[in-house]
Amino acid sequence: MRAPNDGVVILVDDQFYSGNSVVLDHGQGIYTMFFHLSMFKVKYGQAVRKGDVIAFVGSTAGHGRASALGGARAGAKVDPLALIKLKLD
Amino acid sequence: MREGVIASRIAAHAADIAKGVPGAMEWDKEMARRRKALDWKGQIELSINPERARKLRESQPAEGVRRLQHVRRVLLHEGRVEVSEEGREKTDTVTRGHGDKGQGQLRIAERQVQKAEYGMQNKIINSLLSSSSVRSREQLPFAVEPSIVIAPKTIFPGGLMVVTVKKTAGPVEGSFNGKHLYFNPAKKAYQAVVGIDLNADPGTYPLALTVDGRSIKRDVVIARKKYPVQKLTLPEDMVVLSPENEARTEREQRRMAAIWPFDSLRVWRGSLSTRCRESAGHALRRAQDHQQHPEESALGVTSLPTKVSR
Repeated sequence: MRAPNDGVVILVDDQFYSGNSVVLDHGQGIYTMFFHLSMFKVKYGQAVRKGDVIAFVGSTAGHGRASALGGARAGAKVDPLALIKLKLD
Repeated sequence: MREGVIASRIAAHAADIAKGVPGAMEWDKEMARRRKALDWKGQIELSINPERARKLRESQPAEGVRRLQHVRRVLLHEGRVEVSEEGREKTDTVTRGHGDKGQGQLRIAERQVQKAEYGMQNKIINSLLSSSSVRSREQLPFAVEPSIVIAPKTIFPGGLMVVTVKKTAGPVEGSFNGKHLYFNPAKKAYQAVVGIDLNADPGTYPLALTVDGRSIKRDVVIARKKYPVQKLTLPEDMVVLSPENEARTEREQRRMAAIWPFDSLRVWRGSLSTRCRESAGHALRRAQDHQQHPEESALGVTSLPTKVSR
């Protein structure tokens, strides 16, 4: 999994339901979340650049492949594909 | 020496026109077109001595002020605009006081003109648009009525809304349903991305903006959208939680919830991008053995661990 944009790692955790999880904070309330990963390549607090490898895809927690979830404003959960498809300057 | 070279180039160009050398007359015609369109940059590029032309231009008042002076001169001369004595004084003060280069001062000048000459401005705008020298509102020397575009046309829970404000001289402030919006400069506009929470109730929500010192309000309708549910079957111990696991999930939920209240500074640049596959797992609510779990409220997308465009 690669960082979809510049950001800061604000969560690296093995969670009960979502398995190995990483959350990136891109600023101004835009976050991307990555779940069910097999291996972390980043640490908490680390700054990442767009395209940096942050983890490897896995299937932890017994189901699913790696999933990316996007929150676009202060915890508003949104369709991550809409966020990724969005053209920003 | 240099002046001599320039003089000979001018003479050579005149001779080329006289002799009918291909391209020579087109050069002059293109220059005339750029002159008519007030395309100063284009005129400098096309001039025989661009360096001198640039220096001359830089010694002149800022473009907006010059256009304003030009517009006033033309319109007043043609009797298409009547300016009150008070308005004339204010406009003169503005154009005199900011007759130098610099975008910041230009914006201040435009704003002051806008405030002082609001009534006159509308007349000027209409006259300008009906004249040949200005073809679009973007070419006007003033900040005009801002244009607010809300996209997409239909907004759903779990979707994104993009608010674009055009034709504004300065930064835009705003909120949606009481939450602060971050407006960033875009192409000739300011743009904010708003996330509509997956659990937002359909209805009408207020969008409040402050543009060029003016308060603007819009109602935004969030329509209903039903996402398909993907039912997952999990091991028994993930459905009926042991006290230990229940404490763990609560701890994790608290940790996750603690992320959101803090909006940090912008570090993203350009679009977010990753190589994603719109698989059967895209945009599904997930229910695990009909139980409510944190993931149920999320929308998922299956991603491929491959290239990201930089």
